[in-house]
Amino acid sequence: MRREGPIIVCPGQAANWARSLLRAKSGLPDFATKRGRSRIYPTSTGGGLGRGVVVVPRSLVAPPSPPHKGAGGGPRPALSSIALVIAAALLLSSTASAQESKYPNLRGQWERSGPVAWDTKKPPGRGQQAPLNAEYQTRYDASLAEEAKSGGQTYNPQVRCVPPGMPRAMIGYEPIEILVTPDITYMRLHFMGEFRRIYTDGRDWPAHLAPTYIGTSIGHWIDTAGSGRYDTLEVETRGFKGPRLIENTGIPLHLDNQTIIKERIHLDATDANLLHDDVTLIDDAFTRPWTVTRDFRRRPQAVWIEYLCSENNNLVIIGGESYFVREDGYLMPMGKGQRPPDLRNFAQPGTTGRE
Amino acid sequence: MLYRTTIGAIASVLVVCAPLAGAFAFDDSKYPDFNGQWMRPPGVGNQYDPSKPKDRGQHVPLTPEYQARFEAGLKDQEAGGQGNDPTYVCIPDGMPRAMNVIFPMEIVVTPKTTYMMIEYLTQLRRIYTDGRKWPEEFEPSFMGYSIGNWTDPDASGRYQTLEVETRFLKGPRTFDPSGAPLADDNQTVVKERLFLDKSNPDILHDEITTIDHALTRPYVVMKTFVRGKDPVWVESDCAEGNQHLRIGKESYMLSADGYLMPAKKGQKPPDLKYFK
Repeated sequence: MRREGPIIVCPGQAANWARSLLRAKSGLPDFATKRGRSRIYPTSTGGGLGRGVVVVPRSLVAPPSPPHKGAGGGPRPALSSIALVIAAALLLSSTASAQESKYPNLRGQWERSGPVAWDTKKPPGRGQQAPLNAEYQTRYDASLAEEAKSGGQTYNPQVRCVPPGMPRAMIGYEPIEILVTPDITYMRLHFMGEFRRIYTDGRDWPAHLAPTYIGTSIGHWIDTAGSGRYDTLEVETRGFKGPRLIENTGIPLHLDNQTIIKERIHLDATDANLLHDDVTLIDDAFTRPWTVTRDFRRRPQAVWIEYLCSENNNLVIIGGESYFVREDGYLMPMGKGQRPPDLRNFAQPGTTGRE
Repeated sequence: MLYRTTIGAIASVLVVCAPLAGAFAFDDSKYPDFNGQWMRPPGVGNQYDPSKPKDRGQHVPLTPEYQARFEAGLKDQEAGGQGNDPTYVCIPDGMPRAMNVIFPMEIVVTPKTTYMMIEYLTQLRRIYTDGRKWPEEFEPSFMGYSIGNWTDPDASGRYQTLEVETRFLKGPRTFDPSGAPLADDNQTVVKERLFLDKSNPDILHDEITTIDHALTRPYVVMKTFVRGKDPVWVESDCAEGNQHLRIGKESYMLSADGYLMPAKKGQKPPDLKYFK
């Protein structure tokens, strides 16, 4: 169906156009647009993603001249159309290849290259020297004491399979997959199946953010080296809910959930299979911004194994206490001398269950 | 003369274009526009076959053994239990139930993989379209392992349909919340044909054929999704605020103040024999 709107010229199609014109077919083929938008899909290379597509106003492409006889007696192609096709093909070829090489290759499976402590350069727990204020240091000390005493982790939402959210998701307990598209960089965090959408479409922060554990992320690509190619994705994440912890020993973030997280994500300058994420946390539980670098290494062969927190999770929390469910299905205590759960809501002999 | 010069120019362009065209791994004009947010149409519930009423009205072609299991599960649900449905403790739907798309999904097409990001339980499908063969074995999962092929059934020069096969599933899985079960052996094979509606590119069809030992025959259902114009994504956390609890084979609930309570009338409390 011939459209009257602009013509989308695709590099892969330009050669076909030229051949068609040489065969003196009338008219110019139309290519469907996507709701009028130009579709430029720069690629993150690797297998490649997209190629440049440019909208060419129809007015710039002369309609084919009426066929007239050439020296050989046959019809002659419209020379102005052919010339434009050639010019378009050359332009598009260079444009498309430029688009494709604009972004770093972040495809594949990324595994953390250090331990699960937030700052991999320091020991876990108190060794992290998290810059907590006095109030939140007290909270943290209480969590450490609970775990030391009874092994309980009522402070840790993850034991109930509540997702870690940001920033803890970037510990990368399980591998991460990154998918770069022009408007969004997706991060699939295999641990707990969390999903980040980093919007790079130039949007502003909305007036209201629906709070989530993973937050809302807006990013933009920058070319720090002036190489003509993006090398760093700068991201800011806001709009949180909680409770959230930094890592499994229970370093807390503030209950006001006003955390702001800033990241600079970039490949190592000398090793294209090493990814750095410089993460800065700004939170009211801290006395100052806290910056660490988390590193991830690309696996040569991606193998994705399903991770499910809820499957075979034998820890339950009842009435604020942690218990285990044994393999045989019976409840058992987590610590020595732990009292059983209160069964007030069950009917006992001579009661209705609510006395 | 000018004509011969022009022919030469065109020939050189063809030479220039061809290798560059080959260098682009993804000619997205070749693919249908599957990208974006897809939702169940208004008025469609959570049942597997949207064209039929829920529960027994689905007429799932179950074998007598699995029909009996289904009936027992429905009775348990009527009494306040969860029946055969495992999702109340945040076990994911898996395939094919994930395609009920309780909450919206996003599809992103890339040359070697089509991703389906399903908001409910943040389930992810990777449909490999890189020409790979089936592995001899693979760690089973609720979403399974999917291999797809793009086809052009109308010979239009453009792909229109994504044909997918999914294997290597684990369980337990049911078709929908009513608990119509799939077989315990998890030998399910799910075949799909995904294509845009010919008259409305904002409608996506998924013709799903399920082959399973709980069924008397292949079970074919057509599911339809509508494209969201201004996508809004909502975090779906099953575990947050989940008042359901499973201890052994019994499902219980937690009261608002966190105490254990029965899910069914007359339900006994858990055995506390390991507490002194």
